[in-house]
Amino acid sequence: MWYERLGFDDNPFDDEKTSNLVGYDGVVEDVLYGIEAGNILFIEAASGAGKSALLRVAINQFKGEGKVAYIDCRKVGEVNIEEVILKKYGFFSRLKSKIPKGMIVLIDDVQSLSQKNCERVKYFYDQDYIRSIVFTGESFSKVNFTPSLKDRVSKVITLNGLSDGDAVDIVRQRLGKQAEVVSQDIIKEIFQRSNKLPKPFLENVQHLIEHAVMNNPEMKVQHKDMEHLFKKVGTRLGHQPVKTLAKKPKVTPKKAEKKRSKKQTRKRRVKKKKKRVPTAEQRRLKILKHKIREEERKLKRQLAVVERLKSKIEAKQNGDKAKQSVKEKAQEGTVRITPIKKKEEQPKVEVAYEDIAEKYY
Amino acid sequence: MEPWYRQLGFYHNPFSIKPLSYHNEIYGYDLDSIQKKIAEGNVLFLEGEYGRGKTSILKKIIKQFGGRRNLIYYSCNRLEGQLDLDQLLKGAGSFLRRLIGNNSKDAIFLLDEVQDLSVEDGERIARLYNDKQIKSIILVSHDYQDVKFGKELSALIEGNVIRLNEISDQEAIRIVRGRIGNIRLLSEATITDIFDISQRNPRQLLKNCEKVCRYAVEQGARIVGAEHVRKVLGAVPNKLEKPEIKIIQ
Repeated sequence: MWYERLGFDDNPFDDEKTSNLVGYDGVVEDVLYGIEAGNILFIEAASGAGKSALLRVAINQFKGEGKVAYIDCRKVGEVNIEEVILKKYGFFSRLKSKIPKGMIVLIDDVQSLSQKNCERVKYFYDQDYIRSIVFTGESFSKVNFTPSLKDRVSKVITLNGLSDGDAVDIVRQRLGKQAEVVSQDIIKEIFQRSNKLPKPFLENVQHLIEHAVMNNPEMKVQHKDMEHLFKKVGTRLGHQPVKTLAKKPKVTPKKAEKKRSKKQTRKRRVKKKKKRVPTAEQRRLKILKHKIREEERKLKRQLAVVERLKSKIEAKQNGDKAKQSVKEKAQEGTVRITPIKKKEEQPKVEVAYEDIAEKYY
Repeated sequence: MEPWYRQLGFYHNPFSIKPLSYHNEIYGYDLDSIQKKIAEGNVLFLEGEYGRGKTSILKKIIKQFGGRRNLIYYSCNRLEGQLDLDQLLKGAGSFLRRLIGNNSKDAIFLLDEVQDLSVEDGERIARLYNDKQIKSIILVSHDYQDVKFGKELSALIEGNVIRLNEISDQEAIRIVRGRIGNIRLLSEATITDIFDISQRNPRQLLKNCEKVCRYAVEQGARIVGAEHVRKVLGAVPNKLEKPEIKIIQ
């Protein structure tokens, strides 16, 4: 693959690689604080501006506590959102028909959610089943919220896209040591042509580098590659199907071996084993085996009881010996005493309440 | 970084806007008279602006009546189609009663967000009240004029509309002190300033106090000053209804 030629194990422009969001530092802090403090947030962003990446950062931060639900409203529509949230929490929640307390709910593209569902989410927030909510949508002023819900929103954060410098930083961060593959000017130009939206911008950069690596001997992006890219696929916006520009990798000898002929695959299909349906006889045998095992277990238990009784009787008969103390038994060698280790005293941590009091009271 | 309230020694956000979540305060409203009316078996309509404390009052009433044994709280914005009254009534009463399936006659209905209650459901509830199946009803919504009621229910509510009034500065200070204690961070003058900027609405007051305190503590200040308030909220009382908008460039 093209990234292997540059020394990467995975595609550095992979969507999931957003541990460090460039250009949105203040926003990330606000979102994480809002979730921690139990607020309702609204993130205003056009498609491709990076709101899903922002939500992913939030998920990574809070997923350890096991209570984050991400809901893509384009897939929910008119469905009762209670059921959607319950589904995320498995069988027992559905049984109790209750949403577990303290959940963090991330609702993406809320303009696709019915007003009824928005009200339901508000109800669960008020009753503290939901700890905090992050809504994302195209516009806060046009969103389908009741005034009552809008009144509860603590902060509206607008993502306006990134600057040219941020674009360069993102690419540098992703490429690491291979940053010289593409120059700053080319990055800025692609950013302009991608309407300054992060998602299509990264896709375009990826294709450009792919093309350059597979076709240029020096493996560096040149201006002619850029013209080639935009001639073939045009300026890319939003979620359009992506065409690969790189040449198809040659089939190595190992791969050729793995390729099976059509006849062989057909034979394999025919040879699929059919599931065995047990006959009546086999079923009866199975039940009998099960019964025998049960009987064996019963007998074992009875034996164990008998053994215990025996030992009690013996003990009574040898009355004196039974009254021996543990120490004497230890001396005899019939009982072994293990010394109890003292717990190491842990250093006491003194909470500095005094400091807090001094500072603030 | 730890949130600002943890640095002050609070585990939870002291300015949480959830109705009566961690705090037990209701200031400025005469709860005793409301409770008397419920005990006497009346139908009440509680009206108030967003963020004044309607749901908090209902929750306080539930607590004071000793839990949900005879109280049925339902928020009508959850409704899908018809209200299942039988199911709701079965929820009231002691465990034994529920087991036997006998409906309690002392049930008190607390219905929140009744702008979403249909006229038919309202009439059914009114009939239950008239048949003495339920003891009293409290209906809560933003504006009495906005809600559609049938004849029976309107007749019952007549003259029993309680409007939540504005609270005074002292009461606002008590709310904030009840949340954050006698902390030096927020002085009484600052609280009243923020209250004015918040258009004298309790929920906005809490939201704005949170923003201002967060900003001040993150700047390392020990006391919230006028410059913090100005920076976060703007010096002039904000007449816009939108919450704070932050634009990232």
